Amino acid sequence: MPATFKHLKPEDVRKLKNYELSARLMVEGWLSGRHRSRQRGSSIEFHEYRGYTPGDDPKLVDWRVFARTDRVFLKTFEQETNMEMHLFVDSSASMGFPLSDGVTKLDHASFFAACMAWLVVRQTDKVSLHLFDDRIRTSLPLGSTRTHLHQCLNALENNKPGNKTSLAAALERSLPVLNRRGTLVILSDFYEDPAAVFKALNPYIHRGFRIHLFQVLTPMELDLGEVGLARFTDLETGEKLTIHSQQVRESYREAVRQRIQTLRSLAVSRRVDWMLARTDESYFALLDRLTQ
Amino acid sequence: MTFSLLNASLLAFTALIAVPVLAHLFAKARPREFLFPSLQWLRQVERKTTNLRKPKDWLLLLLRTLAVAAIVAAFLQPLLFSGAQLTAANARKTLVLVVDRSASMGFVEQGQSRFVRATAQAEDILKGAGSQTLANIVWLDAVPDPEFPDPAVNVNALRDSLRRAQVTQEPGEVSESVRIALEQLGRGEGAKELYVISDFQSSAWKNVTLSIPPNVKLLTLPVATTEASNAALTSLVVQPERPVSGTEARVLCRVRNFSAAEAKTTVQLAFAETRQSRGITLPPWGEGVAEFRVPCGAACLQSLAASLPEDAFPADDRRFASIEIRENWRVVSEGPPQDASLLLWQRALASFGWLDLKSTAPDPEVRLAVHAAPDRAAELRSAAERGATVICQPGEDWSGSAWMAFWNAGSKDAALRAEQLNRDKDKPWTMQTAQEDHSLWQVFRSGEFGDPAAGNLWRRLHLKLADDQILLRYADGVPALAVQRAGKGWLLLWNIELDETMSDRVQQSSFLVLLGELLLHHGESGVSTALRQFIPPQTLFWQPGVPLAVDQVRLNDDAGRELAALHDAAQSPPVFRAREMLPPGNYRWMLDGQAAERASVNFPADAESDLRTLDPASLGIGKSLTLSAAAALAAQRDGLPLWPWCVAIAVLALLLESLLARSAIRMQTT
Repeated sequence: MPATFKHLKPEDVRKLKNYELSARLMVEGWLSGRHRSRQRGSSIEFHEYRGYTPGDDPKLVDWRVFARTDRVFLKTFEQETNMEMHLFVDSSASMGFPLSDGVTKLDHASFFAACMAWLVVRQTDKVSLHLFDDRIRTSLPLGSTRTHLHQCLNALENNKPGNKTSLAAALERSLPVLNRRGTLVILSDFYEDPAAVFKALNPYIHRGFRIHLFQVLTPMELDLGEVGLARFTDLETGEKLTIHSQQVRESYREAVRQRIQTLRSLAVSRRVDWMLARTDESYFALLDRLTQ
Repeated sequence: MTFSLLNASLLAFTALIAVPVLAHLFAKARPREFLFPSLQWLRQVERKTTNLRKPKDWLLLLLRTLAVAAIVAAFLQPLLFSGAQLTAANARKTLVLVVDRSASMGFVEQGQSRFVRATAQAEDILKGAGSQTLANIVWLDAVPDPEFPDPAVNVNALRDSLRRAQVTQEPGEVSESVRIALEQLGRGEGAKELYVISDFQSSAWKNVTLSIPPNVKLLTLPVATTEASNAALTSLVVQPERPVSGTEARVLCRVRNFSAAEAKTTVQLAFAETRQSRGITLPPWGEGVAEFRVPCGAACLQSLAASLPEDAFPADDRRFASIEIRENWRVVSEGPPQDASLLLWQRALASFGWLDLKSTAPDPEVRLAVHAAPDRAAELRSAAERGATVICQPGEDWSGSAWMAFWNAGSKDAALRAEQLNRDKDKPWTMQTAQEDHSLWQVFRSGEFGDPAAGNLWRRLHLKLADDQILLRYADGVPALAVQRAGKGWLLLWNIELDETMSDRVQQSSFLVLLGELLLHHGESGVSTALRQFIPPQTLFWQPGVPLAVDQVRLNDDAGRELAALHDAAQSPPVFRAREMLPPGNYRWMLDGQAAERASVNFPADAESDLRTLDPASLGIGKSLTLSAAAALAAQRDGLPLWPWCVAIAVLALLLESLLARSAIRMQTT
């Protein structure tokens, strides 16, 4: 893996190697039904051998290979690779909000998406990538090869913040394309009506998709900060608003809290996983959360 | 009601009032720019608070503008006048202030001297003088004088001189200062006001009667605030006045307590290299004497200084004197051998330790001639003119010409005539003192040393002399003791028979005292201690016996600093004089770098140390103003200053602004 991708740093890759065990848990968590059907296996098709890692089921060890080579390999089958993950990365203008060191919210989301993609490919599962703002701007179909991973990483690197957010529209347009149920990972700041978002998510939920919502927000969006009298410019619309931060700060915090609570309540009621992705915290915290 | 601005030149600064308005607009127009992902949540809260915040913004702006306006107004120093006050201030009038700067004004009360308080009052009065007012200041001291020759409109110069003025160490001539002030007012125009600003020291004012013309309005401002208690060194006396080398002299320091409470203090004496101190208790309004004994070394002029611990009125806590230590006097006596009177004279003179009796000596300090021959008359006078003290009891055979040669008076025909009574039958001649105020009699005034004129005599010479030369006279006017200055010395005519068959004078206790005092008062050509003491308004002077070149003589103080001196060649012999009245201290007249004469200037304790004051109302003159009334008068003239109100408004506005801003934020947060 050449270390030339902006959103997949070598040190991240080194860390991600420790998540290999966790990858199995993810599979179990996401696709526990599939494990059972694979073992009964009417449609079992050999895929490849891979090295044993602690935590793997010893039943899957190919003892013949062990007898010949004195090394422990697992015999994997085609059915095991059926876990499909669809990454939706919000690329609207609001995601272009700059953080420190020239990094944006979009970059923060992209780092996480890149890690997820690497993990999925590493697990020999399939991953697709969808970059959207008010429309689908880039859509890479499912794939599990390194080439596919590179395509995903290149797409993330070439991605730029675009127009207004419309996750609902993006989901509606993607629904016909996503034939098989899988896992949806949506990275967005959710600056749109939560009801509309969940209306668009309902078909996915009904089709058995597991959905993970990661709300990417900066500390300033959460807290507003003490900047005094300031003129704020909306990144999506270009509108300007002059306001004294100290005067509205508490009200703003309350408004944000209510907005998050609304989104979270809707998610819980539909058994959708929601998590706040603060940009001042490492995206590995999100991975930890997923592996728990 | 009229407003006036003291600092109208700062009027341009009223533009600063626009600063908060501009700042407000500027702050509204150019806040800091921030990018924000989306304003939808901000819009939601902004709509909630806009209605509440905007009125507060305007109120804050109003308060800030008010605060700036009030601060600017405070710097402009607005004054509020009534119309009548303005008219009065601009009317033509003449104002003369008599400001007391006598020594008692140096007393410190409540951390401030009376003089400082007086000058502040005077400055306040002058500050309120209108542009048409003619004003002048007359200083009340030993020699009162006006600041300007005539009243003038240049009040600022007077205020400047008030600021530079210092209290003197002199007594105050009240009547003279008021006379000069009235004379100044006479040269003025319009309404005439005379202000007397003084502590109204009782000793200076109690006997003053002022005659104020009806067209002059007299206002008195007493500046003394408390009852003053004071201890003062009132005299420093050396006994004998001119002690002889190798003996001890007594130094008597008289300390007076000017308070109703008993006081304890310590007197310190500095003489040559020695320092001595004595504790002393002073009864209320009484006095005490501290006695010191000082060793007199080699013959010279020495300075001595006595002091008390410093109090609130330190001016009279020090006293200075010069002491002349002299060699023994040489006395040469002459007369008929075995003359009873001569023998008595010699016995009497031998009893004085400071006299050396010699049969012969060149130019002795004292020459005694008893029953002298007529041909000795001229020679005796000549000796006196050379500087000796000549005591002469003429013989009965003195002719008129001999008497003329001796006394330089009378006529050739007026021969001295001897008179004699019969001791058993006749009533003796008795004597009485003449010139009662002569310092010779000072020592006898207490009665301790007897009557200097005591004694009965049955023999005398009959002669006539001018009254001013006679010290003792017989009841019928015949002189018994007379004195005359002759050149540098003295001629003493002794017409008192000492022969015990014709007189009982020598048996009187006062005889030796009279003899001693007579010699001390008329001894050689030396200068008495009293002549070396100067008390203001006296100015320090020195009259050397011989003419000296001006550039030879310098006047130095005890620290060696040279002081300005004048040379008055018109007097004979010429006199050297200090250019101005000097503060108390010891001074030296230097001749070619050597101290030729010493003198002391002392505080006028008798006049100025008693700090009790009078209520000027009790003097029955003019209208008396209290300090607060004087301040109110000044305020009326000056107008009511509004700057403190402006400052208060500014503080209040800033306080309200702060509270309002805080409450706005708090409302938002709740």
